Amino acid sequence: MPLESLSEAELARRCRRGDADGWRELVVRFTPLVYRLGVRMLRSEAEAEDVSQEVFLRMHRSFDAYDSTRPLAPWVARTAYHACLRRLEGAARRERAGDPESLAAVPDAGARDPEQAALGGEASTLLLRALGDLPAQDRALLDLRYREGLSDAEVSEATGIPIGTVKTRIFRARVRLRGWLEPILGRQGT
Amino acid sequence: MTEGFRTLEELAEAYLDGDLRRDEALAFERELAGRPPAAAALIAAVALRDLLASLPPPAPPPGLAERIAGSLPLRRPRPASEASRPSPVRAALAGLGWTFRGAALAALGTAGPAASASTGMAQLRWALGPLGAPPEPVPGSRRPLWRRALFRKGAK
Repeated sequence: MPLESLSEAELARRCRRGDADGWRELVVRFTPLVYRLGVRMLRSEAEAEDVSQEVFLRMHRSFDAYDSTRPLAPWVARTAYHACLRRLEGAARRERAGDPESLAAVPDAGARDPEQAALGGEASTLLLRALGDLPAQDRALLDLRYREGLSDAEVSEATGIPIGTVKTRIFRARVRLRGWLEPILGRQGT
Repeated sequence: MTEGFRTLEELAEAYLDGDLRRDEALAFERELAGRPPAAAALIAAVALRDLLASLPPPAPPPGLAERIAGSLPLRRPRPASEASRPSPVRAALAGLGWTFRGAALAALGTAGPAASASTGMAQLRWALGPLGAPPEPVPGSRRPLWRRALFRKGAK
């Protein structure tokens, strides 16, 4: 059976056995998710590449902790989400301590989002700019919910945030976005 | 009806999430029919969700997955030169063999010390040598060697 058509459960079994081909397939299958989350939370392509590497190394070391009866995507997303948070916290700590190198790691609020650079559409550009003004955690929640297609429960599992809090934060983030995007959304709806 | 939801926008979001009670949802639907601002709020909420879902995802740079997979400490297939090394199963069986020999020696010991020096040496050779059947006791005096040494005929 080709590796691409393996079910998540079978893929997880192979990875648990330390099967090298299984691990390669896992990396190929989930690198886009980890990278996307990294770009959106860290707002830097270089940081997203670094965090992708870190995430798979962590997963390789701690695969025994994975419950193979659960879907893989939320577990991968959780590892990525927490790795991104650690980087953001580390950058903020270094910035507070006045480390000049930390300034490169903290995304510049005025800098152009790497996604924006790739987009030309007015609505998409404005939405990305508005998303960039949200806290990184809220960006991640919206991202996992609407762009990665996870359910509220899976977003809760991925982030470790209680489901009620996930719903409230997503709700508030959407309301803020709507406030900023009012003119565009009016046009989109017509 | 709007308890907990202060604005029409919040109501519309809650309606789409299915977070309104049945009576609240029905009341909101009545508002949709009679109040254009409620309909506009709902349309905008749907448009935002569509817009979020339609953003093209940032693609990982070419070769990133391969580089990551290459950096993982994955097991390589064993080269042919290593194929003759004892497998973990064979090693475990050899260990069992030694355990069996230890138990067998203990059982031999229950009959008393070696009946003679030659029997004792045979047992020692068996214990240290390749796996095989335990040695037969060498025929001889039934008295243990130490008893014969201490109580030789004529000794006082």
